[in-house]
Amino acid sequence: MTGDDLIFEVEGVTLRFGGVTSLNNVSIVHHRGEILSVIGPNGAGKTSLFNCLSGVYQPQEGTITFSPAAGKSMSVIGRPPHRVSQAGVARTFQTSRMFGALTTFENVKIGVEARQKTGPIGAMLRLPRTRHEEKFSDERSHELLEFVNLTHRTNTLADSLPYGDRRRLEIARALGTNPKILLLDEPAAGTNPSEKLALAELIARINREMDISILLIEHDMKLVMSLAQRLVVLNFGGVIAEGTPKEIQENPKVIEAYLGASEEVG
Amino acid sequence: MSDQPSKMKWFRSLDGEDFRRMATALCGGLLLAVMTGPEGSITQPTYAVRESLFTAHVYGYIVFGLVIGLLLTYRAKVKNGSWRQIRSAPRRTLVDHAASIAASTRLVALGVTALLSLFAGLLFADFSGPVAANKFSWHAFAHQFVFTRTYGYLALAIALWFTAANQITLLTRVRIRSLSRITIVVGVLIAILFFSLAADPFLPPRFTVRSLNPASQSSVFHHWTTYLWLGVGLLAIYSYLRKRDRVANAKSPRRLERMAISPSMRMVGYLGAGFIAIEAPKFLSLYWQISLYQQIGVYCLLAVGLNIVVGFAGLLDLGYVAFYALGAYVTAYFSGALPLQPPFHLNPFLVIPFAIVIAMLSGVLLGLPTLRLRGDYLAIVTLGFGEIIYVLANDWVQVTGGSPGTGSVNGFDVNLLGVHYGWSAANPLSYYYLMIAVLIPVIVLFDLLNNSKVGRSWAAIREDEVAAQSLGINALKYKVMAFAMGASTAGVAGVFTAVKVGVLFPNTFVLQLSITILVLVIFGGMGSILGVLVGAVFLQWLPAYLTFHSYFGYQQSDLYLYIGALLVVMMIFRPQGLVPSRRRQREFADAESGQGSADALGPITQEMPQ
Repeated sequence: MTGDDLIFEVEGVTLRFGGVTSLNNVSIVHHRGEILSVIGPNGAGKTSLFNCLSGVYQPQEGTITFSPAAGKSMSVIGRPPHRVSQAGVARTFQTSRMFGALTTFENVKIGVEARQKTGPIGAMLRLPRTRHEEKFSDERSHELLEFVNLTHRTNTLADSLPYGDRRRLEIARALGTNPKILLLDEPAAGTNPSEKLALAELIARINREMDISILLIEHDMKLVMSLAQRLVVLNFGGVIAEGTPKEIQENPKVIEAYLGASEEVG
Repeated sequence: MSDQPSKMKWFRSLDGEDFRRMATALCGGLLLAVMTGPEGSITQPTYAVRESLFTAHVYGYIVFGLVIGLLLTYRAKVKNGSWRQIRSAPRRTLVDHAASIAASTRLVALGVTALLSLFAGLLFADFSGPVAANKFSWHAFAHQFVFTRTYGYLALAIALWFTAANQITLLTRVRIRSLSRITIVVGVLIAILFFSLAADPFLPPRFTVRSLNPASQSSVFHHWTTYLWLGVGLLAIYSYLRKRDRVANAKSPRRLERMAISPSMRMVGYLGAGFIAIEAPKFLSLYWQISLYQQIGVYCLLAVGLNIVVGFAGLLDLGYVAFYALGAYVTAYFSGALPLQPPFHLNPFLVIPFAIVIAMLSGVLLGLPTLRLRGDYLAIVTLGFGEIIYVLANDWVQVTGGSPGTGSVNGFDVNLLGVHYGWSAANPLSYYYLMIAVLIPVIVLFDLLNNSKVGRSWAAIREDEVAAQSLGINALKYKVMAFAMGASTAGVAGVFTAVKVGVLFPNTFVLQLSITILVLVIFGGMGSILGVLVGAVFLQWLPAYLTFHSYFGYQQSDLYLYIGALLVVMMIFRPQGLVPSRRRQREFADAESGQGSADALGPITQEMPQ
């Protein structure tokens, strides 16, 4: 982990929907190679932040700078989601968004292929480059399925996968785009304890073996505390605390935010 | 589930949804009725609805609609669970339940369905004869019973009633103990009577129907080969679709693999189809040889092209005919057939690249600003574009020649390296083979495209645009690509049409044509190349066939009514199309169970969940 090498730098981002302010002057830094977790009660603006980072929402104020490699940087704001993704930001969704009618393998392959150059002419005529890329994407997809331990589901249709497998498939699909940073939106929601354990291990492995920075939204405190190196706490669209897991656990503001809304916490 | 079923009267559990379904079925029936109403001519137009009310078929179709509606209501009730207890309950409970329905209700329900079915059967049995003249005669009525065909339709009535009684009231299940025996008896009866319908053409004329309408003397029912081919065709289609459905619904990959067709079998299939496509047309009459190209071939090309837009990318394009018109008029332009003279004349073969480029460019130009819209908005904009092209063709007389039509367009010919060949109207098969030569590569290329990165990206966009974009897929680019490819295919079809018909009239390229092509795609099965080909061949063959035999006094103008009715029935029973693609079938199943975002035509881009 390098000190000042930031992969994401969010400064003073404000996002409004009509009269509702979803994010209010949010500033976050994400160091390269780090697992950073964003927590907060429901409605705190976590997913809105994700949507800003991945280009789905355009915040009215502030800057979001993404640097795919040290020394290179680009602004996320003003770019459509596919450009942001191409730059190296991959994400998963809170409610899983699989391509249900396609097989597990095809799902991952779409992620891998999105980086390839094959056009319609190449695809129709099966030009050498297309064949080459196709071979690569087949191999890569199999690798990724093996990585997330879904090899036995290769030809299963995505909508008939159990919930835990869908989560992992979504991660594999995102990894297929060869990202620099992976945004995970509640990956453990709806999974059972043993799946959660496997998931935590998987996330740690992605971070360690693939050298991908991870930004994690999660409600499961045990998972977050064991995984994250640093935490950011959001409440009512603003950052209320930031620090190591230990610091956050002892932060009176955080405790208040959570206790005040204890019933809402998942 | 309570042990004691409450004294539920089945009609009490009907709700708004049931009435809507009923109304749809009735409308379908009414539509069929108006379609088969009295024929008009230019000098004696028909006021379809009003005058139809005097013909017997109207009532037949309305009743038909009623019975279908009742059956559907029953099915829905059982499916959504409100009547499930009844069905899954043990026999004793069933008896109890039946007992809980008032005896009078039972009798009335049975009686009503019996009467309705009988009525429908009789009216279909060409009883329009004695009634149509507006003076009913018992003699004519009795005379109908001499005709074997009458019995066939009576069998239809019995079948309809038996199903209805069995399904709706459940009474036969309970009251009739030896149900299986009765089913066999009724089945045999129906079979015999239906056979009489099939045997009709072999019997001496005294026993067969002679319609009052001299035009329908050569009715399709009077030729035995019709039945043979119909039987063979239906059996083949049925067994094929069954297999396809089973493959599509198989969840475990092992079963999928087991059911997959081996490559060698596939090859045999292709070769057989190719052989038939080449040899069979030689035995057809001139009428069919012409139809094969003009009515069927060109439309296959159009449907395959529209399938890219609607089926693969999930975009609704109602102005598709505009690109077709562009292709045709470009051909006319380079033949010097338009008032606007070209700098050089071109052989239609050389016009094809021009047509492709022009149609493609106009597709991109239309697509770039409009494909940011979705669903209904896109449909409206494309519809507008189609109308603009039509108005230009019709009113920009200095360029297009306007409504009187263009001059004559050159035919295809080859003058290359000592080979000289001209395609002429005298030999329609030469056009047909040319069309096959274009169609097969197009189909192969589009199939490769669908199974490539591009096809998968389209599927991803169709299923979930937000997720697709999050993977770095440029949704707009792929949509425009689909649009342009569909447009260029239509442009090529335009060239082929212009060359064959010789003279272009703007009113060929109207909205109805766009909708017809869309219907071919929807009917066959969006997203499946085989499906749209089947749809195009069947739906284009049918009117040609009806015209040829002038069955029921069929006229060209009736076409849209028939197609409309067919679509209504289709949407009720098989909304995914005749031969749907595996992916699409899956999406339909998902959408029906409330998963995913795929609806009938395209993606609904959902707002991101907060």
